[in-house]
Amino acid sequence: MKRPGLKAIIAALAVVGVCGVIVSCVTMDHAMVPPPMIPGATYVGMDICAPCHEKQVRDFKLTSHARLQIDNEKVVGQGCEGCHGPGSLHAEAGGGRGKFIVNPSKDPKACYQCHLDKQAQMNLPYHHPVREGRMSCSSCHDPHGADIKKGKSLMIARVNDTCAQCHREQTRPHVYEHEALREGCTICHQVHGSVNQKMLIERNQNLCLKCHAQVGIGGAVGANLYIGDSNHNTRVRQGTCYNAGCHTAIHGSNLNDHLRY
Amino acid sequence: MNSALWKSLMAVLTMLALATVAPAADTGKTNSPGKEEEPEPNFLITPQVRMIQVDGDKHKFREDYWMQDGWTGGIEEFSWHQMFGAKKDTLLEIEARGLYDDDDYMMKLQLVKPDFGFVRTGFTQYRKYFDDTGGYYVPFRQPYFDLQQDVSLLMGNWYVDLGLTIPHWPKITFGFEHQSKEGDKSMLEWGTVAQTISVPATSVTKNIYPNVKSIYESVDIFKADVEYDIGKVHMADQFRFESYDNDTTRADDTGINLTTGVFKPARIREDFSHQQFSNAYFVESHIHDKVYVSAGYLYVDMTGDADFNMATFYGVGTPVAGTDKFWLIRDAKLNQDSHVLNASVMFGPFWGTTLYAGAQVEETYTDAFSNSDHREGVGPSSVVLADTSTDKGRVQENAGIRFTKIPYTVIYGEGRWVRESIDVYRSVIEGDGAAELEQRTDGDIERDEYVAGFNTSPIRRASLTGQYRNSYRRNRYDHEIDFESGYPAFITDQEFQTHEISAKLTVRPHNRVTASLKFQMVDTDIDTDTQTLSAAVPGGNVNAANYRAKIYSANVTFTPINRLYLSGYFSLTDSQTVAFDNYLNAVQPSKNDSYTAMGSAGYAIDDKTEATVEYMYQRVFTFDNNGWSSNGRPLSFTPGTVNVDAGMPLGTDSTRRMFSAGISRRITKNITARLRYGYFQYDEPSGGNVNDYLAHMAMASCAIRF
Repeated sequence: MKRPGLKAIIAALAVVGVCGVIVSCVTMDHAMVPPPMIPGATYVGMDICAPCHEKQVRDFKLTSHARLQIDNEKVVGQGCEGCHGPGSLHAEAGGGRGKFIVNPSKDPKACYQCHLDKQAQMNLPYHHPVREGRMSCSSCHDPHGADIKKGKSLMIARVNDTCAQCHREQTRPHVYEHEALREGCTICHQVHGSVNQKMLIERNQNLCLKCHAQVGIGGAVGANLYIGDSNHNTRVRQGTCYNAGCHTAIHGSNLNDHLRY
Repeated sequence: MNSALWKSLMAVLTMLALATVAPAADTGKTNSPGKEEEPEPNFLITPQVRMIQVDGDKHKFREDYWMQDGWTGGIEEFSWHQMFGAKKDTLLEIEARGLYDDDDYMMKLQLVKPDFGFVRTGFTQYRKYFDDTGGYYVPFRQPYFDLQQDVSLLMGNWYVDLGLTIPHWPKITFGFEHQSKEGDKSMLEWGTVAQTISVPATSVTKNIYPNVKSIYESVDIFKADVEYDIGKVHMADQFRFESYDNDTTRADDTGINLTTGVFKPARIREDFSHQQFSNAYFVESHIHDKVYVSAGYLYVDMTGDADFNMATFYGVGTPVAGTDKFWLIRDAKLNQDSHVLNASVMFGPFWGTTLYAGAQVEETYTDAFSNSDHREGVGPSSVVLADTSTDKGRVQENAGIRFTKIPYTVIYGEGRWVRESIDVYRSVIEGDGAAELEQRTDGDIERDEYVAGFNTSPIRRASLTGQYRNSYRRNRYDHEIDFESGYPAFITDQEFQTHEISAKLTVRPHNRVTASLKFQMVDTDIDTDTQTLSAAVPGGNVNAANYRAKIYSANVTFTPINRLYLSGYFSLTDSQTVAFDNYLNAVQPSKNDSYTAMGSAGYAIDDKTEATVEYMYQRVFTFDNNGWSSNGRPLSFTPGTVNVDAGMPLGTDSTRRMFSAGISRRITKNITARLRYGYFQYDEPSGGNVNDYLAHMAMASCAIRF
C-alpha cells in the first residue's frame, strides 16, 4: 500500500486543526489577547484617570511622551492608556494595584509597542537584564517625568549620574580621567543592548580610533598608525587598545596618564 | 547573605503562605463582588520547579539567559496584600520571589497607613553569569583558552524606608540602602599569547587569553527626604550620604608563549573608597492651569581614597627591567564637588500651542593627588608625585514647542544648547624633582541639538510619527602647557555631526489586526584636528570616523478569533563604523549587523486550558577575519601561512534559536498549573564552535490564588 506523502499529512493536520478551531469557537468564549492588552477592556480617555491619579494626569504634559498627544477625543489609546492599556475595567473595578491595568515597569512589552527597535536591542546577546525581569525600562527612564531618570531624582543631574547609580566603579573620578567619560557613557556603550561584549558600540579598534585618529606618514597600504607620537602598528595587530595589554584602565587610572593598568 | 538564611526566609514565606491559605479561602467565599466595603485579602503563591540540561558551553548559556543549569526550585511569585486596622484602611503588602540555586531572591514589604506614614523594606539578589572564553585565533597551536571557571557576580541590595505622611505636615522619609557586588566577572583585557610561526619565520602575538576580575563592592546610602506643599507650591529636599568601597583583583596580562611554554602573569589589586554627600532642593508650582515653573539646586561633595598594587613578576630568577614591574600607589586622594542649578517653565496650551524652556548651570571641580612608587627589575624605586585638577563649567539651555491645532496632528520642535569650559591641569614629578609631565589644557565645548517631529492620525485606523534629530558637538582644546609632547594633549579640535531620522507607521486595518513598521537611520561624522608632532606625524585635519546605521523593525499582532492570538516581530540592524586607520590593514571597519525574528501565539483550548508558544531566531554577523582571506583589502595572503600584517579577528558570526511551549490549566477556581518546555540553541562558527550549546528546559509551576 502506498504510504501517504508529507503534503497529504500536512493537509490532513491542517484540516483537523481548522475544524478544531471552528468547533471550539462556537462552544466557548474564552478570549486570548497578546500582551500587554487587557481582555474585554476599552479605551475611556485620560479624564477618567484624573480623580485617582491627579498628579500623574496633571504632570503628563511635562513629560516627553506628551509630544505625541493628539488633541482630539476621537483618537483613542493616548495619554495614560497609551502605556497602561485600555482603562475601562480598571475604572469599573474602582482601581487597585494591578487590577485590569498594565504595569510597564513589570513588563516591557508596553514600551516595545512604540519603541520597536529597543525590543530587538534588549534581545541581543549583551543587554541590560530587562528581558530577565531584573530591571525594567523605568529603572533608567522616568516615563512620568523627564526622559532619563536622574541619579539624584528631582530632575537635576550631571552627565553619567543615571549610569552611576549602578556602575560607580566605572564612573567615579580618577587621578587621570579618560576624556571620553565627559561625552557620556553612550559614546562607547550601546546601553539597551549590543552584539558586542560589554555592550560596546564597536568591538574592534574603531571604538578608540573614532576619537584618537590622526594623520601619520605614509598614506598607503602598510602605512604607520600613530596615536600621539607613538607608532601603534604592532600593538593594534595584537588586539584592541583596551585588550592588548596596554590601555586597560579604560575608564580612568590613578597611576598612569596613558591609562595603562 | 548566605544561602542558608535565604532558604530559611523562603521557608518562612512558604509557611506564611500556607498558613494564610485556609482563612483567606474562607474569606474569599464570603466576599461577594457586591460587598466592596469588606476589603478582600489577595494572596498568590506560585511554587516552581525547573530543570535545564545543557550540552556544550554551559557558561555561555548561563551568560546568555541569566539562568543556572541543573535543577532549581522555589517560589516563582508570591504576593499578599491585606487591609486591616479599625477602619480597614491600613495596607500590608508583600511581594517575593526566591529560586534556590539561581540565587534569585526578591522581597518587598510595605505597610501603609494613610494620613500617618509607611514602612517600606525589601531586598533583591541575583547572579550575573559570564562566559570564561577569550579570543579565537586559528593559526595558534591552541587557538582558544577556556578558564574552566564558573564566573559570576552576585549582586544585591536591601533597603528600609520609614515615612511620615501626616496631613498638613511635611512628608518626611528616612531610609537606608545597602548595595553589593561580590564575585568575579570576565574582562575584555585579554592576555598575551605568542607563538613562533614557520612561514614566514616570525613570532606572532595576539591577545586572546581570557581573564577575570574579582570584585568586592559595597555601598551604604543614608537618605532623608522632605516634601511639603504650601498652596500651589510643592517643595522637596533630598539628602544623601553615600559610603562606597570597592576592592578588585585581576590578572591583567597573562603572557603565554606557546613555543617556549613560558607563562607570565601580572596581578593587579586596586582599592577605592569614597564618602559622598549630596543634597538636592527642588521647588515647583502649577501657578495656573497653563503655567508651570520649577527650580532646583544640587550640591555634591565627594572625598575618595585609592590604593593600587601591581606586580608582573611571579617567576623564578631575577626580575628584568622593562618587563618585571612593581608599581604601587602609596597614597591617592580624590575630591570632587559640584553645584548644579536649574530652572524651567512651561506655558500652555494656548490655542493649541505649548511652550517650554529651561536652563541648567553646573560647576564641577575635581582635584586628585597620588604618591606612587614605580620599580622595575631589581632597580631602585622611583617615586612619582601626581597632582591633577579639572574645573568644569557647563551651561545647558533648552526650549521647545508643541502645536496641536492641526486636525488629528501634533507637531513639535525642541532645541538644546550646551556650552562648556574645561580647565585641566596635570603635574607629574619624579622623586628626583624632575618634571615628567606638566599639562594645562583649556577646553571649549559646544553642543547643539535640534529635534523636530510630528504625530498624525488622519484616519482612525492609522497613525504616523516622524522625527528628525540634528546633533552637533565641537570640542576645542588649547594646550597652553604640554611638557610631554605627543600624548595625551595632541587633539586640538573635534567635531561630531549626527543626522538621525525615524518614522513609524501603525495601522489597524481591522479591530483584530495591528501592524507597526519603524525605520531609523543614523549618520555620524567625526572630524579631528591634531598637533604637528614630528615629521612622522604631520598632524592636521582628518575625517576620523563615519558611523551609519539603518534599523528596520516591524510588529504584527493578529487575533483571528477570540481564543487565539498571533504575534510576529522582525528587526534588522545594518550598521558600520569606519575609522581613519592610515591604511593599516590590521584595522578593519566595524560592522554590527544583526537581525531578530520573533513569533508568539496563545490559544485557549477550553475555558480552563491555555497554550502558548514562542520562537526567536537571531543572526549576528559582525565577524571580521582580519586578513585570513580576501576581505576587500589588498592583502598578500597565502593559505596556510600567517599574514603578519593582519590584525586580531574580532566580532561574531552566530545564530541563536529559542523555542518555548507552555500549557496552563485552571484546576480549580484558585489553582492554576503550568508546564513549560524550552529549547535553546547557539552556534558560533567564528569562535571555532567552542561556545556552542544546546539546552532543554522543563518547568512546572502552580499558581495558588485566594
